[in-house]
Amino acid sequence: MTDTVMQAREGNRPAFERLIDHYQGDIYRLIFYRIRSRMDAEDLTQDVFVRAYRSISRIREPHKFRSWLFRIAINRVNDYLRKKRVRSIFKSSDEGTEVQPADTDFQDTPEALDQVLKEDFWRHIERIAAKLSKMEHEVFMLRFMDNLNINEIARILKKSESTVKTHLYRALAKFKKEKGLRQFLQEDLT
Amino acid sequence: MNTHSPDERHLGEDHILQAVIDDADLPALQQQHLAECSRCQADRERLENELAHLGKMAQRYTPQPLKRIRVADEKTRSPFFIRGFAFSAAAVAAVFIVVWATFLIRSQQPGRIGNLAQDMVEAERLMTEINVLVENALPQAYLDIVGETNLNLDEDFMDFLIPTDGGAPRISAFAKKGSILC
Repeated sequence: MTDTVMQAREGNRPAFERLIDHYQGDIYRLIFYRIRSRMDAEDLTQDVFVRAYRSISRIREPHKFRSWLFRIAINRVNDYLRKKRVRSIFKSSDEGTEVQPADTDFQDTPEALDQVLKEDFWRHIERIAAKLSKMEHEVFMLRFMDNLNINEIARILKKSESTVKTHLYRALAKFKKEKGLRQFLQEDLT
Repeated sequence: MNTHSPDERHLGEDHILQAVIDDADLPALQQQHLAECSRCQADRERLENELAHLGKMAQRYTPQPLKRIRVADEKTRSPFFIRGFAFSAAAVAAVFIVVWATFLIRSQQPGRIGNLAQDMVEAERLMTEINVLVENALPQAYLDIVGETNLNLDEDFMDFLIPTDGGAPRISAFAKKGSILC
């Protein structure tokens, strides 16, 4: 992948498109986990790659491309959430959320059950997120939902590895106390 | 961070958490214990499995993107740029409309008040002219001949000069009552 990054850095567009194909799923999910809106996640993903394309010529260490790309995504998410908070002052509380269409005919179908489980899952995630500090939440998400290692997280957040581990330890200690989420995970595992 | 479990032989919760984050950070003794103890390994695996499953579930419950990412050329603008440009254009248009409307209203308001005031002055002047004519219907030249500008004629005299409709009311009224006409 480093070769592809180097080719893209030299202005090779097909090489950059290969990078898009490789990373777009990860970037889209990273964004969706944090903003919980498919359409906005798609737009932000597009925006992340446009920004990456414009500044890839400045990347010095091609092997750090992944963490560089993830940092762009995290920054864009933070910008988005900041703007959303400002906009929310001028909007009513029910605006700006994607509402899933309710279909009463499918209440007993597997699709309906899956929908309920999905809503439960994100509710549990929101509940634990509320108990974590901003940094604990970020390192927890990056480590266990985005599946990045400690070194990558440290690079993305521009923190030392020991700082990342400390926040991760605190986040895990809170996760262990979150019986509801753990039971939910256990039930799905069995 | 390094509190020990009641059972000294096994790792405590804090060590399990440390092991999940990075087992290289465990003290040597605990690392050795973890390598040999199936129960502690199971504790760590249970937590690791839960966390791994958390990641899998998050992935499972994420809707598939419908749009394909395109970075066509330099002309490509991010959707947020386009959206931002549209918002800016709309804001400029709104400000222009507000300013224009305010200017229009302000330019009309003083004129309207001016016209109204002018109309009132005209009406006042006309009423004054009418009142003068009511008081003294004769032109000024005739009034000068008479020598009096204000004759102060009372109602009875005016009735005498210009009888109301229905004949000569006062005279006929007297006549009905049996008064003698002169």
